Amino acid sequence: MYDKKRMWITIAAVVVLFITAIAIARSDEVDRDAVLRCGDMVQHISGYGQSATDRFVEAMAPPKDDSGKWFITVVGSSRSRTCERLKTDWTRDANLLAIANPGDPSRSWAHWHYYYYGDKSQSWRLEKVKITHVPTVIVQPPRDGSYGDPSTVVCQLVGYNGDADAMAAKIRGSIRAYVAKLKASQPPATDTGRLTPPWTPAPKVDPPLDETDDSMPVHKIFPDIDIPSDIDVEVGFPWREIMTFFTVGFTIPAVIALVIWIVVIVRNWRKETGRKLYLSDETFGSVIKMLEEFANARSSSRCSGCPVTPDSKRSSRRS
Amino acid sequence: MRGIVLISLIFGTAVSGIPPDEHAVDLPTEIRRWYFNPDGSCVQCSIGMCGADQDVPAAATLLWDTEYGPAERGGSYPERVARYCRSRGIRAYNITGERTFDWMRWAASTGRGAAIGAGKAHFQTLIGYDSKTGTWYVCNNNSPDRIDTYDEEAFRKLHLASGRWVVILDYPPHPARPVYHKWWAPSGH
Repeated sequence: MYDKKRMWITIAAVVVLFITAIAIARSDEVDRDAVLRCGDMVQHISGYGQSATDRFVEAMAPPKDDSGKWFITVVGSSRSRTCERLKTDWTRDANLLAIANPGDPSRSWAHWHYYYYGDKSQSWRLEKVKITHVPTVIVQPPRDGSYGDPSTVVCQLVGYNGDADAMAAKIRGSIRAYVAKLKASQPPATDTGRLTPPWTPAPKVDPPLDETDDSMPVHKIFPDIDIPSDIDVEVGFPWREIMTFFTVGFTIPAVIALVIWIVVIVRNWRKETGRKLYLSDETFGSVIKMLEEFANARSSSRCSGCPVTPDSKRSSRRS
Repeated sequence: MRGIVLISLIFGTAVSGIPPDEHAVDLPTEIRRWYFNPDGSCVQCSIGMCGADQDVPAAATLLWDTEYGPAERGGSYPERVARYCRSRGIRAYNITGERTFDWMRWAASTGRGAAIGAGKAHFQTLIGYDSKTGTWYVCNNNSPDRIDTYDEEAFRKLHLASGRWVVILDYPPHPARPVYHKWWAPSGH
């Protein structure tokens, strides 16, 4: 009797140990969502500086708190099968869930919103963007300003053909390009005014609802250019202008280009070391632009047959 | 200073350091007007305004009969709020006691509004908080066209006059109103 009892206790202990071992083995020691969010990425950890890839990886990490979450806004319609499909896929597909988890906001990397097209309680939020079709997905930076002006449309995607991976890849790619460019220019968190959308606006009528077309692939309408994810963030040395010192002699455009380069270098250094900046980014940008225009005007008036090349402009402007 | 606070308490003030569209609750006036207090339903008006801001229809439609549930009118208390939130499937923090100020700061800093005790036996909507100047922004459902501002001391009195009770919806804050910036352009934004 005693042996039988001991046998059962031993079996129970083994079962408990076995279950515990399985539970430990299955516990999440790797944040798989964070891995999925990075997509196809190779990061070279060198210890020197911070590359565009480093910045992207940083941006895709779990946010420190709620105010550091990016925003994913889906504009859809309950009358559209495509919208309903996207909505459903967003609760199932691992790649989309890694970006935003509609069912569990506390664990979601981004804040996810689904606005019904034509809902008067929300439509005023989207007055400054063009919604031509549904579904439309808009990606915006976090509210805390850590990635620039939170109102910025990082990308606007239209349509959905059931390819959730393509949707997720486009969102990742846009964020990657945006983060690379943003950190390079450290833009001010202010609205610089309304800009013309980079595509032909739709006619001023109610947008057609995509009710039957399930074949429309994910289409990026903003921005309408392909941006390399690794954008050069270094300030280029104005070799061209230096060469003009030796060939043509001192020219005002060359001097201005050199001055701009030095000023940008000093400003970046002051920024990086946390020193006081005497001009806001916006004012500084205006001053630089004014100097460039002045230099260009001088250059064209001096030699009407020698236009300023994009190279020379870029070398003095990249910062 | 006290004079200014008194004036702002009596008349309210539309003078605001933060632009209205950058408050935690950035509803336009015409939407706020939907939540004018018709019959002593200040708690539901305040929660409803937060619901509209965070796009939570079940909360935004508290005052009316809809598919989300019957209209909730009249005076309220924490248990009633818990009950109708449960029946409508609204996720919310129902907070009473010592830590309400911490919760209100948290809500505002993360872009959320809050339905808060404000004024004697009254509820209003916390619209925002400027931590740099210590200014609180509140919308009273008896005068939804206006956003009242309070300094720390005045706000403390306002909140304590009603009792420490705050309701915050457990949903993501609204995004900033999206705007196209040519962020890829050489000069940045």
